[in-house]
Amino acid sequence: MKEPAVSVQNLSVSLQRDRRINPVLHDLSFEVGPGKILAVIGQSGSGKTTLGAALQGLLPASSRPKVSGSITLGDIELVGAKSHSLQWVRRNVVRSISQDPMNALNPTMTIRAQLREAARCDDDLIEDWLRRLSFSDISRIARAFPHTLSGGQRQRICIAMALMAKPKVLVADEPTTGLDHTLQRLVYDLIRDAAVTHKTAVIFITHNLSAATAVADSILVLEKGRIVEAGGLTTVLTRPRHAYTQQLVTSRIELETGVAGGTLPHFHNRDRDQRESRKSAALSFQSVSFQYGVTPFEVRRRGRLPVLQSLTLSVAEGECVALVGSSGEGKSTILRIAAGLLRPSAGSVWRKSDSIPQLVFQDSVASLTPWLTIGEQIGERLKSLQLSHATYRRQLEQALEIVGLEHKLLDALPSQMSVGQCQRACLARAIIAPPKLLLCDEPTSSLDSALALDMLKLIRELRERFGMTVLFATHDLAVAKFVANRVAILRDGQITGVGEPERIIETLKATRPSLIEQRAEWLP
Amino acid sequence: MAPLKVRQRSIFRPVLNALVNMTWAERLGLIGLGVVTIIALVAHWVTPFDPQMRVGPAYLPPGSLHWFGTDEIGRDLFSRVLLGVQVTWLPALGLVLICLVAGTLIGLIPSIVSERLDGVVQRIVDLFLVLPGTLVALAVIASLGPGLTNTMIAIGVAWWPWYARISRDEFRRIRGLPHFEAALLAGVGRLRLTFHHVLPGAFPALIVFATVDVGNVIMTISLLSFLGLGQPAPAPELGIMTSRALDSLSEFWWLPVLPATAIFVICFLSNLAGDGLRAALKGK
Repeated sequence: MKEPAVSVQNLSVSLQRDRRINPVLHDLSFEVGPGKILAVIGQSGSGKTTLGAALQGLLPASSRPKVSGSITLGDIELVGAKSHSLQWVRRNVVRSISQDPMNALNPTMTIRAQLREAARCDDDLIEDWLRRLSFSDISRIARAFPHTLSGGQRQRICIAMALMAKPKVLVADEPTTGLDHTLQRLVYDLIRDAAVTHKTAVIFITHNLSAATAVADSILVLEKGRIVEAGGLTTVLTRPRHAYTQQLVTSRIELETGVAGGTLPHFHNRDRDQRESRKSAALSFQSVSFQYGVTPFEVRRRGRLPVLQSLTLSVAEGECVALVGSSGEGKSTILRIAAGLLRPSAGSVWRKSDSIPQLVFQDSVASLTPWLTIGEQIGERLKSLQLSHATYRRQLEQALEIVGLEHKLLDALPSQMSVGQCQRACLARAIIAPPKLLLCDEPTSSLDSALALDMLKLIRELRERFGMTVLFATHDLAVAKFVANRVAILRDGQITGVGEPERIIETLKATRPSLIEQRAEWLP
Repeated sequence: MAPLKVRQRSIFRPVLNALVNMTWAERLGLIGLGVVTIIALVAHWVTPFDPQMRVGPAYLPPGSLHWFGTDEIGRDLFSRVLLGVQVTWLPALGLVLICLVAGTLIGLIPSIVSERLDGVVQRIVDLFLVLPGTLVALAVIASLGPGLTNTMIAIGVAWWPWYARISRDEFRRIRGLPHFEAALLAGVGRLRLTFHHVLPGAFPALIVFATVDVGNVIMTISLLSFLGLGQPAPAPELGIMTSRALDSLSEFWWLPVLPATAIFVICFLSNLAGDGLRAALKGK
């Protein structure tokens, strides 16, 4: 048998938080051979990202990591290695695709310069890779700075950076969360391709079972830092032994059958929804256009880059409308305009209620103030209510319970929590005092299928209980269909179709198959 | 019903975190600065000899009785350097702290009062920034007369706009971040938004600038003393002690070298502390 590319023996990691030592990983042992893909699945907070960081020798020094056991990449031992040899390993052996594409790129360098630095290659190869990641306007993208690209575009650049270097080991931490299905599949193909042609061993970290199914040869399930299940892909999927894996598998099926059969668990009454939609509008866009800070000089140089072009949409009171579009189509911009954070360049936006709408941001980590605890930030929405200390505390704890977080996280800083936990904290902040209008920007993108389903059910339930109006941006038609009464398809800054999910999906099958490519997984 | 209590310590949390997460070299800088400050505060009581009086023969080299030797009229150099630390370090520290607070508050005006004021405030800041600082200081002293307080006023006039500019730029940067928008949507009031969600994020840049800037202030104070516009002659100011004894460097090396070393140590410690703070706060 060939030497494994990655070999982890009895690995335990503890990190320090608030000067207390928290064990994060317990006694992990596994191997990945060259050209093999191992999917690491686990709930948010199960230690997936810590494992990924440990494999690159990148555990944060500020949390004083204590590592025991051994990590061997090829024949190099990482545990206890000097920092310069770790640097050599990162340059020559292991590459990673980061979970947080917003911050993984250097804001002061153009995309071309960063790709060149990552792979030490010429411009032809860079353009070739951009083309392979299905960028259309290659020369503009290569010249651009990261802040001018959308989240999904930045994520694709990160993927290109990692794959271009042809590493021996690739650590991909949730590489496809911000991408639509076509792009996700493209990325899976590229990763598999790298595994086959360059014998790259891939550690594919994900919360999403179907992503794991799409790429991996074998699966490792983590729960609270321990391996609870490991084995070949089909074995684990068909005969899950551990309760958590069973839950993962069944909740995926539940989402599928729920969508397939049209009979969703405690789903709202369609008739009532129809009545609701005849009610007055809660939010309406009248031929809204928007473009980001374009000066006359820039217009002459690059031409106008409108994000939205005379978009008209109306959301009735108590209704949930899902905005569905690929990466970079302006979903986030619409939500920010609806929230009043951006002013449209032309047209008008009208909101019925004068209370502030709540926005659950796509980049949940960045939307939490880094130096305030979760409790303080969630509690800010209650300040105007003048509650007693006990009631205030109880309300906070209830809000955390609703989104499935532990009470002790009230005193945690955002940097001490996983991305999934941050996302749930953001939702907790939005709903602790239920708003009239809730805007969600891909709130389930970094949650595993069990949590995502919980989150969607929760949003639906809260909506029914408090009569909230919801505008929900997603790239996932299945999610849209699950959560929304109506679906609006966004393309080139315009709404190309609005209607009931089933009807829209029927139409799209003919006109835009790319959006529903993954129907085998998700849709009837 | 008791009013809601919200913990106030959050403003200082980044600073506390930084102190906890520091390496020994970075702590050395901060602790060293603390020691220098204490020495400066108690200098009057710990000097072994009267710094103004003749206490031994002139030009005595460093020895066990007079640690730093004596100067040209037989005054104890060690006592004079200790006092020099006082008259150099305390004004510099005070000046930087005043400029830090005043500049930060001026930079905050647009956030607290109204965005529209931003332009007005910044043009005023620009007006002060374009004036050559040392010349303004000279002019101020020329009209007020020499002396410690007047020196501080003169330097302060030229110094605060830098802090206002840096704080304002930091605030603008932070106000563009998603967490600020999230807090805005959470209905946080203007003051809490400013002091809890924006100000702590600007601490790292401001503190780092201030610690590095202390060195500059010390140099400027020494320069003004050298020109005879600082404290009157017998006062043991480190800059003027160095410059006046420079001629005797080859014969009596300790006269210029030891006061200069004191200036160097202070500037070095403040730079070390600044670097440490920057490294520690950057990770946040």
